[in-house]
Amino acid sequence: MNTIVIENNKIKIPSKDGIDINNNTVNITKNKNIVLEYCDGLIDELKFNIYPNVKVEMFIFSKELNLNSVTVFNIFKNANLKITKFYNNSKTKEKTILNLQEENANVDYHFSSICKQEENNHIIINHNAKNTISTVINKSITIDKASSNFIIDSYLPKGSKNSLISQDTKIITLGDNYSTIKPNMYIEENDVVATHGSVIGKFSQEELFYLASRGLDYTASINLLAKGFLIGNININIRLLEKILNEVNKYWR
Amino acid sequence: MRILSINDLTCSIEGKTILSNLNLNINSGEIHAVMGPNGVGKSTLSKVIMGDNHYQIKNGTIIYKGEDITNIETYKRSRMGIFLAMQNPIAIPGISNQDFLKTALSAKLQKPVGLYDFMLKCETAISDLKMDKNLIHRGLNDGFSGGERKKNEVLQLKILEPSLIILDELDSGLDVDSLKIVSENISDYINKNKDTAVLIITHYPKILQYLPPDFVHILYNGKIAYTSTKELALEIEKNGYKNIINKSNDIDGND
Repeated sequence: MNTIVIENNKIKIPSKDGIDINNNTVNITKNKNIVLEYCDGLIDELKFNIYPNVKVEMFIFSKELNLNSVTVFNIFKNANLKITKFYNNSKTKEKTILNLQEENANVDYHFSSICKQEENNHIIINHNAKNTISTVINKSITIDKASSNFIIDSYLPKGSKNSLISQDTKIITLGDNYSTIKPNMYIEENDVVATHGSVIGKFSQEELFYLASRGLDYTASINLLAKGFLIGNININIRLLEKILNEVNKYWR
Repeated sequence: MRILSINDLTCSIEGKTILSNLNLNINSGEIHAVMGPNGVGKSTLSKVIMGDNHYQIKNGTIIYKGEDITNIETYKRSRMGIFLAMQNPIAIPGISNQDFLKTALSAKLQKPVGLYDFMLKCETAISDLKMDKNLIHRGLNDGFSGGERKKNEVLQLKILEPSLIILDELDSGLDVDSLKIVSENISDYINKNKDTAVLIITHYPKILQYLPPDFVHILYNGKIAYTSTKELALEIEKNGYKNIINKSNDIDGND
């Protein structure tokens, strides 16, 4: 496990085996499990190049920050990037660009967040080659006056055939502000499978009734549902999961 | 002892009356079956007893063990000992089956549950139900087959130990072997808890072979239109509802 820390607008990494850093560009040349942690909120554009045939699992974590970031991921031939991301920030303004640059590049992006004030997430997925796959799943819970906003733009030009695009974003509003999701798919190729889903709302009455029918009052039900909603989108090892649970338990113990 | 007494119950959803002046009495130790054509309100009856606030109670009362629960919240009804095994149990990914069950048991008992005793109880029940042991660690009903979900409902039943069990089409989605297993588990539970009453909502008489009812009721036009013994279920399977409804004896429930 490599841990990359973003602090004072600098990338810090203890081990550089299979990882080459040049200014704000990180080249990953070997299969890696990476933890990326933001320790302050203002950083310049950060770029990751995932080399051909390399598999990378990256856990991105941030809490209590006013995060303003741009992150670019270039994924090359036969490379596979799995991103699991959890934020519990005061404010987030983030642009994430996922470039599937060459054939058989694959990205699996799972983002869960607790939105306390405002978050604006712009996710851009460029399918720049054929046989590319992108799966983007976002789950956010807003509390009090918080507002969560997502723009997800998938681009697939002519020639990037036999590709799969999937977007799924769900925002649970526990407060009383508005949130938005703008899912866009700009597809110029016919030979593509594309799915998308976008939901903004409360936990369903059906879920609450089921839990109530087993003796759970409203508070206990919301606690369970909120945990399940955020953690159900996350598939990481126990140690990292504890890090997330520590944040989630602050609100829904 | 009278476990459940439904008196002149009228309820509606979105302005449409589903149950109309329905009467039904269930005593401890009794098994009742409610049958009827599609859309007559059988599942509504089960949800109204459980307190689903989608339905508006226009008239009547629901008395459970002598206490009027007509306006009591669902979670309190559950803690009082009413259990509804649902027709379509929902899946909640991210909540482990084990955490959910432990939380539910703690809520019912109103005290923390020891992990060792809880796991022991779970493992025994899982073994009895011939369930995959891994299901207890998975998300609640997440990725479960229809049959696994129904078994999971019965697992919850065995852990929460209710006094009134409502089975809403437990037999749908279950193969014959699984139906036999879950029925035997419920039967075993009833034998160990003699005061427990059961209300079975079903379309098919097969489950009634394993859990023979003392009374079979036909629900029609929002009320109990006809009540008889378990042979009625076989007659319905053979001849359908038409003849039964025609000779409706206007019995409202049983005493």
